[in-house]
Amino acid sequence: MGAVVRVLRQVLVKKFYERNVGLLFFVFYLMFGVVESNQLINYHRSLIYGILTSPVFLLGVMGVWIFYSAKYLQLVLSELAEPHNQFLKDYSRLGKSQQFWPMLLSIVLMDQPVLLYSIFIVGVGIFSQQYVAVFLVLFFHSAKLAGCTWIVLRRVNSLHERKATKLFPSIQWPWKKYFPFFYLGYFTNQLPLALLFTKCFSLFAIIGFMQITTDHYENRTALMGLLFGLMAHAVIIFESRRLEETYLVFAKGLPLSMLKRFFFLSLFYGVLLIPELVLLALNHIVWFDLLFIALFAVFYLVYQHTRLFRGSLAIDAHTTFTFGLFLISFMLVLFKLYWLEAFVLSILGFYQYKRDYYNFEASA
Amino acid sequence: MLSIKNVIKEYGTHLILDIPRLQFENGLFWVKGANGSGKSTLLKIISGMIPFDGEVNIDEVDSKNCPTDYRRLVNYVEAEPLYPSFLTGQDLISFFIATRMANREEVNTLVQKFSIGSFIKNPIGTYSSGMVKKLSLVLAFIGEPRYILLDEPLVTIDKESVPILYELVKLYFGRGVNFIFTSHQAFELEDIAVKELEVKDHKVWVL
Repeated sequence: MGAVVRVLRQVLVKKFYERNVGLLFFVFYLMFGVVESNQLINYHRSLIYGILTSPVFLLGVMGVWIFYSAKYLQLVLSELAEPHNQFLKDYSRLGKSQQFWPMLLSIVLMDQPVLLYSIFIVGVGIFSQQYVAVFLVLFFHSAKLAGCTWIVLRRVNSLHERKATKLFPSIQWPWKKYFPFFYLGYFTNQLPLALLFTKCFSLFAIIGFMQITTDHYENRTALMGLLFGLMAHAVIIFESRRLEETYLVFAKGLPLSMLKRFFFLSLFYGVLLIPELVLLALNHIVWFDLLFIALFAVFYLVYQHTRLFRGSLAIDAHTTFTFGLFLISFMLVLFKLYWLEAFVLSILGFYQYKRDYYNFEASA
Repeated sequence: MLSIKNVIKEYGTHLILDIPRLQFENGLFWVKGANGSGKSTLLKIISGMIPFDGEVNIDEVDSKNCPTDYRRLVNYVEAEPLYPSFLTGQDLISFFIATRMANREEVNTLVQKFSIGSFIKNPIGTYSSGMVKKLSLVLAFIGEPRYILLDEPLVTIDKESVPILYELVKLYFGRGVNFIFTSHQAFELEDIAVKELEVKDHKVWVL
C-alpha cells in the first residue's frame, strides 16, 4: 500500500502544491502576515470565536473551504485526464477499501492547510464549550473528504471508458474555433473554475479600488485594482504555457511568422481582459486612457507569458517574477507611467518571444 | 534537396546526434534505429521544431534564417500526436488549411480516403488513438510541402488504412513530394525504391 500512496503523492498531491504555491503563500500572508505579531493570537482567537458563534460566519467559512476543495478536485480530475497519467487505470484493479484509504490520504494531504486551521477551531470550540459548532465542523470535514474521495475514485474507475466525468460544467463552443481561441477554449472547457476564480478576483479588485473616491478625475485607483487583477492571472498565464508545450506543440511546425504568432497571443489576452475593460469603461474611465490601459494590461500579461519560454516551466519562479513585476508596475502606475510600461513590455515581450519560442525545450 | 550540416543535438549534457553532413535527395527515406537512438529527434530537427546547433536547409531555404518559408516546405507528424481534447478534427483541419494555404477540395478528398468524415466534427477527446492518428496523417498531407516527415506512421492505424497511406504516399511522391519516415515495420511500396538509413552511435548511416 505504501507504493500506491507514494505514487498518488507524486502524481496528485505534489502537483497540487507546485501549482498553487503562490496562492497558498498569498493566503498565508493574508492570514498571518498583515497582523502585528503581538496581536496574532488574539486576532485568530477572535476570528475563531466569530466562526463558532455566528452561523452565518460559519456558513461563509464553509463556503470558502468548499471552494478550496473544488480547486484541488479540479486539478486532480484534469490530471487524471492527462495521457501521462493513464497508468492510473490500474488503480481500479484494487479492491474498494484498498482504493479508498490511499486516495483519502491524498485528499487529506491536499486539504492540509484547511484541516490544520480547523484543528484550532475545534480546540477553541471544545475549550469554549461550543459543542454544536464543533460537531458541525467535524461533520462537514468528514463528509467533504469522503465526498471528494468518492468523486475522484469514480473518475479513476471510469478511466477505461475514455469518457470524462466532469465536476464542473464546461463550455463546448458550437462554432468553429480559431487559433487564438484555442487557448480560451482550453480554459472554458478544461479549467472553467480557474478562469472563474481569476475573473471574479480581478473584477472584485477593480470594484474595490473604484470605491476610493476623489474630487477630481483619477484613473490610478482603477489601475491599481486592475494591477491586482492582472496579478491574479498568473495561473492562467502558466497554464497557457503548459498548453503550448503539451497540446499545441504541433503549432510550432506551422508556417506562421513570429509577428503573427505574437499578434495571436496578444489577441488571446485581449479577449481574456474584455470583462475588466468593460468594467473600467462603465466606471467613466475616458476612452483615451482606456486605450492605453488596455494596451498596458494586454502587454503586461503577454510579457509574463513570453518570459516563460526562458529556463524551465516552473510555477514557483513564475509567481516570484509575477510579484516582482507587480511591485515595479505599482510604482510606475503611481507616477502615471503605465503608458511607458506598456510600450516597454510590448517591445521586450516580442523580443523575448522571437528569441526563445523555438529555443524552449520542456526538458531543459 | 534537404541538406544537413554540422548538426549537433544534446539534451543537457547528453549527446543525441552529431551529423557532420547529410543530404536527402528526392525520394523515400526509411530511417531505422533502436529505441532512443535519436530517430524522432532527427525528424524534429528537420521539421524545425526543436533547437539544435548547425544548419538544415531545403533547396537553399535555411530553417533558421527563413523559418516561415522553411516550415512551408516541411510537414511533420509525431508518432503519438497530442491535440487539445476540446477541439474538433474539423477545427484543426481548418486551421491547417488556413496556415498552409491549402486547397479545401483536396483536403476533403484526404478526409474521405481516411474515412474520418463521420467523427471529424466531434471533439478530439472522444477519439480513439487510431482515430487521432488518422487525423494526424490527414494533417500531414495538407499544403504543398517538399518533404513530409512521418514518425512511426503505421503505429495504431488499422490494417485497412495502411494501403490507403501507401496509395497517398505514391500519389504525392509522383507530384514531387519526398518522404522521410521512421518505422519498425517495413514500408511495402511497389514500384518505388525506399532508401534506408540508420541512426546509430549518434550518427546517421546510409545503408
